[in-house]
Amino acid sequence: MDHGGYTGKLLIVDLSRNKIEKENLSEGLIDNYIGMRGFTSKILWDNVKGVGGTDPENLLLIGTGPLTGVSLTGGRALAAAKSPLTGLLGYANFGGHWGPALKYAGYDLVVVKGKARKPAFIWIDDDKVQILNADHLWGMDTRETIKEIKAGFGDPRVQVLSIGPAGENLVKYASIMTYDGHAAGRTGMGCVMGSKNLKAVAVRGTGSINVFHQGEFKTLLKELMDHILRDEVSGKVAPKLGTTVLLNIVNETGALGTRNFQTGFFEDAYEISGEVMREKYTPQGRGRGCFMCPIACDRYTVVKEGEFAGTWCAGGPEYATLTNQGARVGNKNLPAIIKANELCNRYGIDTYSIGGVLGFAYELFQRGAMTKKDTDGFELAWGDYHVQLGLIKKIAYREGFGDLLAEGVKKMSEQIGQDSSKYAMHIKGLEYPSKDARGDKMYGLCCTTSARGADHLYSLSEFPASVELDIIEQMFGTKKAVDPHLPDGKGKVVAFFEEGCTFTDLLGICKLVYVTYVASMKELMYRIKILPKLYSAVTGISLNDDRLLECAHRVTTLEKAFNIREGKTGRKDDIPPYRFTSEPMPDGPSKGQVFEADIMLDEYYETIGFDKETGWPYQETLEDLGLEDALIELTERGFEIPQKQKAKSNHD
Amino acid sequence: MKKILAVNIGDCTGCRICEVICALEKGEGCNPSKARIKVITSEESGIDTPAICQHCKNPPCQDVCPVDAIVRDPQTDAVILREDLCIGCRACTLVCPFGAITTDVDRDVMIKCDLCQGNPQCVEFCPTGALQYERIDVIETRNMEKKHREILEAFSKSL
Repeated sequence: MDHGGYTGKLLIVDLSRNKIEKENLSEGLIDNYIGMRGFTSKILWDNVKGVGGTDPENLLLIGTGPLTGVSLTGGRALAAAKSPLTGLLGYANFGGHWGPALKYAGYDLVVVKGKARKPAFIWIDDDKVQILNADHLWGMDTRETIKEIKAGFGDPRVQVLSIGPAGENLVKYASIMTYDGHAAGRTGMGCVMGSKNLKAVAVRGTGSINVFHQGEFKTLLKELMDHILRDEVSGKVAPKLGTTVLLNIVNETGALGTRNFQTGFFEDAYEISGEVMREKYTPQGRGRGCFMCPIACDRYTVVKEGEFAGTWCAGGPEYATLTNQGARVGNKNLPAIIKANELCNRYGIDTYSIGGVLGFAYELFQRGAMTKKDTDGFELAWGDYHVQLGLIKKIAYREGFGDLLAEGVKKMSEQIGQDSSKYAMHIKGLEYPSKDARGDKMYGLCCTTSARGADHLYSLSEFPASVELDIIEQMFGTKKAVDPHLPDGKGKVVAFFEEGCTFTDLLGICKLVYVTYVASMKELMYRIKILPKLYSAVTGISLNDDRLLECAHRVTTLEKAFNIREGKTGRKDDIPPYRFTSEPMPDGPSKGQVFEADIMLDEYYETIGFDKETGWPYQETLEDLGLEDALIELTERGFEIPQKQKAKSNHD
Repeated sequence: MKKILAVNIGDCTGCRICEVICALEKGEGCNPSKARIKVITSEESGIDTPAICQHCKNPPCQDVCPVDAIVRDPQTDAVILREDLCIGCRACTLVCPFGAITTDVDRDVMIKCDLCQGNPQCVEFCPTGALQYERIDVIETRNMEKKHREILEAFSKSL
C-alpha cells in the first residue's frame, strides 16, 4: 500500500470452514470511512442482516485505525458485532497494546466468521496465521488463558485477547480482555466470541508501518505532547488519578448513581474515591500507559492486607467500576471493589453492565419483588459485598439465579414483570452506565441517543472544569449549555461531542485525551483540530476538518440506520429509564431535578439532520452523506424515511 | 563533562513512545521490534523498565567483538556499533549484561543505541522523565535530592 498508517490488509478467518484469507483494504473504505469504527460499522451494515447476536452468521470484527500503533494514544482497537445483549449495533473499544501488535503483524482488521466445531484460538504470527485447538484453555479465566498462551510461545511481545468463563457461558454482557486489564467491555462482544467457540486471539507483530511525512509527523507529535503535558488536567490531574478523579466531583454535583439510581449522592463516596485508592492501593504512585500515551491514566492496584489480600489489577478500577461496584450497590468497601474488578476481568464480564444488573436485583429485593426464594437464598442487602462477589461468580457460570442475571436488565425485567420496568436502568437493552441523568443532563442525553444503547462514550459530553463562556455561547447558542441541571443547548452539546468521539474512534486513538482530559475549550479545540493534520502526515492522504466531519456523520448515521434495519428503532426507543423522567431526585445537590428528555431530544435530532417525529435520518441527510444505498435498502424494507422538505412544510 | 543516558525505573509508565520514536529515527518506520530501546513489562507487579545500552565504561561487547566493529564515539562517548564491519556473530549480545544489543533479522547485523549523535530522541520524547540525558554529576545530584526529599517528607509526616 502506498499510504502510510494503513497496512492495507484485512484478515478473514472463517472458523466454520477452517479457512484463512487475506484481502486488500479498498480505497473506497479508506476515503469514506477512514478506519476502525468506520470500517467495522460499514462492514456490519453490509454483511450482518437479520441474524441473532450468537448466530454463527454474526461477524466478529476486530479493527484498528490508521493512527493505531503509530501516533500518540494509538493503542486503541475495537471489537464489533451485532450485540447479543441489545440486538443492535455492538462494539467495544479497548486500549493497551494489542491493536498496535495487529498492525505490526500487517493487518488493519480481523473479520471472524462462522463457528469453530471445537474450542479454538487464532494465532497471528505476522503473515502466518493459524486456527489452533483451545481445548486446554477452555474453562480458564482470562488471566490464566493469556499467561498460558504467552508462556507457550515464549515471546513477551505476544499480545493476547481472551474471553473468560462468562464469554464461554454466553453471558450476554461478557467482555473480551487483555492481560494488562484492558476490556472490550460493552455490548457483549465476549459473548459473540464465546458463541463462535473462539477462546483467544494472539498476535505477534514484528513488521513496520510506514509514516508518510516523517519530519512533519515528529514535529506535530512534539507539539501535541507539549500541549498535553502543559495542560492542567492532562498534564497534572489525569496522570495521578485518571478517570477516578470523577468520583468525588460527580458526587458533589449530585449525579453519582447510588443504590440503582434511587439517589445521586453517595454518603460514603470519599471512601471509594480515586484519591483514597491512589493513597492506599497504588504502590507505584503513578499511572501505567497504554501504547504511546504521555498521560498514562491507567493504574496498577494491589491489596496487600485484610480479607482481600493478594488481589491485583494490572489496570483499573476506573471511575465507572468504582461507581458500578460501589455506589450503585451501596458498597463502600474499596478492597472489595478492587476484588470485584479483578473477578470481572478474570471471568470476562463488563463491569458496567454487571453493576447495572446487580443494582437492579438489589432494588427488586428491597421492594419485595424478589425474595430469598428467587435468589438461591442470597439476601441482597445494599452494601453486602460478599453477596455481590458471590453473584458475580454465579453470573459468570450461569449458576442458579445467576442464569437470569446473565441475560441483562431488560430481559430480567421482562421476565420478572410486575412494575419492575420502573427500576430497570437500561436504554435499548444496554445497562445505563454511571452518572444520573437528572444530575447531569448532557450525560443523560448522550446515553439516550447513543447508537449502542445507554453508553456515555458515543458522545463523551463533559465540559472542562473552567470554560470560556463566550466560546460556549458561540458554539451552542447559550451560556446555559454548561449548566448540567439545565436542558438548554444540550442537544447541540451532545451532537458536538459525538463528532469528537467519532473522530478518535475512526483514527484509532483515545477519546479521553482529545476531548476529555483538557482544562479549557480552547485546548479542546486545539486537540480536535490537530487530528486531520496528524492523519495527513502519517498517511500522506490529505484530510481537512470538513471531510473528517463528513466521514464522522456518515458513520454515525449509518450506525443508526443499522439499528433501524435490525431493530426497528427510532425515537420511541431513544428514551431514558423511567426513573429519570418521572421521579424527581430525592436529595443531594441535584434535589428536585428530573430529566427533560423531549426538549433535548428535539434539539439533538435537529442538529444532526434527523426527523424529530421518527428519530430517523431525513432522506436528504442520507443522500448528502453518500448513503443512497442505505436509503434504498431501508425504503425497500418498508421504512418510510421522512423527507426534510416535507417535514418542514408540515411544520410550517 | 560527558552526558549519560540515565534510566529512572520508577518513572516509566510503559507507554513505549521511546520504542516508536527510536525506530522512526533509525529509518525503520513505526516498528518497535527494530527499536534500540525496549520497555520490559511486568503486569504482576505493575512495573515497567526501559532496557537500553548503558554505554559502559568497560564495555564487554567491545572486548569480545572479533572484528572491532564496536567503538567509542569520541564526540558523545557512546559505544557504537559499526554495521559496515559487523559480521553478525552475536558475540556482543551474549555478553551484554543488559541484553541491549539485538539482531536486525532482515539485514543480519547487530543493532544498538548510538545516542543519536548526542541528541537521543527517546529522551526528547519521554513524557515522564524516566529517560534523561544529562551530565552524570547532575543526574546523581538530582537523584540524591529526590531520595532525600522523600525521606524529609516522611519525616515531616511523623512529626
